Amino acid sequence: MRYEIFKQDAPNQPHSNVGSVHAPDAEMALMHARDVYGRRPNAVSMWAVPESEIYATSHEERTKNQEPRTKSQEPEAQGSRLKAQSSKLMAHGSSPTSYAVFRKTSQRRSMTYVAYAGTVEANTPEDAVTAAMHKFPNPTTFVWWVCPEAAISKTEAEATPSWFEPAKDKVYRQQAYYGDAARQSRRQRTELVSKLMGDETQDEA
Amino acid sequence: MTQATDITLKLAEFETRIARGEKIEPGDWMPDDYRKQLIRMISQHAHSEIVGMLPEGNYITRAPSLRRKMVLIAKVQDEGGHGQYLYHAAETLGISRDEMEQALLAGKAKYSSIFNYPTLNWADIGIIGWLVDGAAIKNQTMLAHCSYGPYSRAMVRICAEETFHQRQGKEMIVKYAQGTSNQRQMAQDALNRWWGPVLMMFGPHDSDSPNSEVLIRWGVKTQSNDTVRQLFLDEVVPELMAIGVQIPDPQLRFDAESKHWKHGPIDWAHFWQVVKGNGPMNKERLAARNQAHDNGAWVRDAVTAYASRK
Repeated sequence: MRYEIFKQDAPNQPHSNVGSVHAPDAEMALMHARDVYGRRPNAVSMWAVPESEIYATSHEERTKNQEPRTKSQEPEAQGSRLKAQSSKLMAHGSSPTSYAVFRKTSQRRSMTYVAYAGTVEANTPEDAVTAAMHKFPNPTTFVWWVCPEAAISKTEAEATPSWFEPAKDKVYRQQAYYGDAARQSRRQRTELVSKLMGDETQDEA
Repeated sequence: MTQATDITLKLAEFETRIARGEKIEPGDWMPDDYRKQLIRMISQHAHSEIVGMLPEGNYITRAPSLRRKMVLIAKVQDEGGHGQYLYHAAETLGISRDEMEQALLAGKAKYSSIFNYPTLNWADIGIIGWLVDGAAIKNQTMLAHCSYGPYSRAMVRICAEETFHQRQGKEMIVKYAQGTSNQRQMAQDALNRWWGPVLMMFGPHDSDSPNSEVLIRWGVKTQSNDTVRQLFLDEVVPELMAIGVQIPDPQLRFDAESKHWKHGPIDWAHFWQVVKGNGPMNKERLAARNQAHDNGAWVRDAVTAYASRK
């Protein structure tokens, strides 16, 4: 099964989607996620959600494709694989459920995709998106993801030191650790190019 | 509205979005060819990361010091992680992980030809870090600007991590170049063998690169093969000369007018031979990948059995 992974970089920051992992259950998904997305010292917590529990919709889909699509109507290659494919997801519809809301609000280059905004109560995923639009208004929301809050598996707070802190000691994973060689090499390059171009002034710059 | 005009309209809108600098995300409309080209590029890129663990991984047990060993383990582990980021990005386009994995194991998938050369001495590890990862970073920095959101994000993450790969290699070669005559010889020998294949990593010349034009228009690639190759040359040539190693290209020269380094002819006939599977290590790499996959079967079986019993 494929799990979408959300990583929190610091206690005051939202969990943001970093990618996915394949695992037979949520516990192993979190273990893989630590190895795949937690090798650098900027994680304090991770969440894993089965992709089948996530309802995803983009601003483009909501404005351009007014006809609702179901998974069977769309060619495999055409739409988000996350979208409305789970009967389990729809079965939540009978009574109000708490949905976690994630969204993408920027087009700037980034390592992460949708970030956690909060929760809404709704009967269906589509209602959850509508509720989220009211509760978390933002004129530049490009993508919404909602999933039942109960579908999120989380790393435990007590586990944080043993799971994420060892990455901090591995300073040789940081480029700054090799600073001397790199600085020397950059200086030599500048000197050589200056010499080749007969430009003495560059040395002083 | 006919279907044809509908597609034309959608295509125009799609290209406008890209021109505005918006990222295309899973679920958004995209031309079939955009999807196909991205699946081709991203899956090949993912396979390259996975196969790329092999030439260096076999040196982990032979690293000359504990420090070098820790660094190499961390680097190879990163490459495995980078493969995972990229398989994830390809999956968002509708291809399954299993499909990609099977294509690689069956020898049907392509990956970067640079990994079809052998690592013959320890200094190769330094040259791979400095030049192979250095070349990859140039390419990946360009791809971080890609119009497809998941690919761009994977590239941003990879570039941030990969700079240490290049630095540790450069550090090693700079030290060997200042070291004993044996060490200098090792560094020179490694450079002699890797220089040509490294220049080929940027792909065929622009005039022979049929996919480039549409890939650039759709913001998949943002710079041409020759442009990125030139960026790389201008960076590494003076650095290599400064440490006193000989770059194995008698025609290499600095063009004072354009202020660029110009390389001699590249052996493209050889390049295509390696792409077609006739490189020095193609068979060994595929066999090693299959062996690793087969050896891991019991682990996959065990975790599946464990999960099903809960």
